[in-house]
Amino acid sequence: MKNRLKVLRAERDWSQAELGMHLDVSRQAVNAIETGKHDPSLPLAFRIARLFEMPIEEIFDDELD
Amino acid sequence: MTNSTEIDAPENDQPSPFRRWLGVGTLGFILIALLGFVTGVLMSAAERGGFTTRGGVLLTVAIFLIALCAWGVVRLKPAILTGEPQSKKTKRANWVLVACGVLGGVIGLTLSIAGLENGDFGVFSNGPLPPTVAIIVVSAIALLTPLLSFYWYANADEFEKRASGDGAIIAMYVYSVIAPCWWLLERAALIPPQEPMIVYLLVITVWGLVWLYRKAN
Repeated sequence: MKNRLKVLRAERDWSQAELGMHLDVSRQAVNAIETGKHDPSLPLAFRIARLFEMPIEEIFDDELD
Repeated sequence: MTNSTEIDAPENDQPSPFRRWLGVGTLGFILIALLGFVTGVLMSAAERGGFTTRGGVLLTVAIFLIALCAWGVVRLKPAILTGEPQSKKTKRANWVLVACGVLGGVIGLTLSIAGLENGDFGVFSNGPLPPTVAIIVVSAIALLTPLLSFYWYANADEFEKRASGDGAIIAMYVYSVIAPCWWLLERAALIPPQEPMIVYLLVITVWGLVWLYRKAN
């Protein structure tokens, strides 16, 4: 699944490890989500959306449209 | 979208994650084996009242290799040594993995030392073992493994759990092939009797490799 996590992270000047701290996941997990190798669970997707104060669909794109 | 090298420059200035994890795991395993070997040589020297020339040379080489492995682990910069920011749960999950390595090392050393009574250095030997040692090691495995596993599972993030789970499933498939095939070939007297520790090591190795691969790719 495509997402804007890397851009949103860059806007805040966070490293992957720092974003991982905010989301309570490892740096490897952040990297896997950013590169589309891991689709986050619904609870984690909500945590990401709350952290960036955006709706989930503005961060993640299921590429169905 | 921002170029990844701009954002992740410090993180990319290292070996690939799979190579890093595989390197740390392999060097850690060799380190534990070498420490067991050194303990064996020292115990043997203590029993004889001194070192033989061969024992002294082996000890020197082993100590040199231990230093080399330790240097290699530090060079590969695992997160625990670099001070990379980690959440409390991630730290706890990583420390559980370290504790598992230490537990394995202590059990390996205990078995190596106990085996010396029979002139047997092998950690995975099938030789006789004093009942007290067997009971202590079995208790440690039976009590600590579930506790550590539960604690790790409670703290690891979903990505780590998925990587571990994928490894466990493939390891289970490997086991479901190796165990019956070996059993049938053994019954046909085509291969020696089944060695439980060889099967165990194969399954654990597959589990670990797939886990590392999924974590890094």
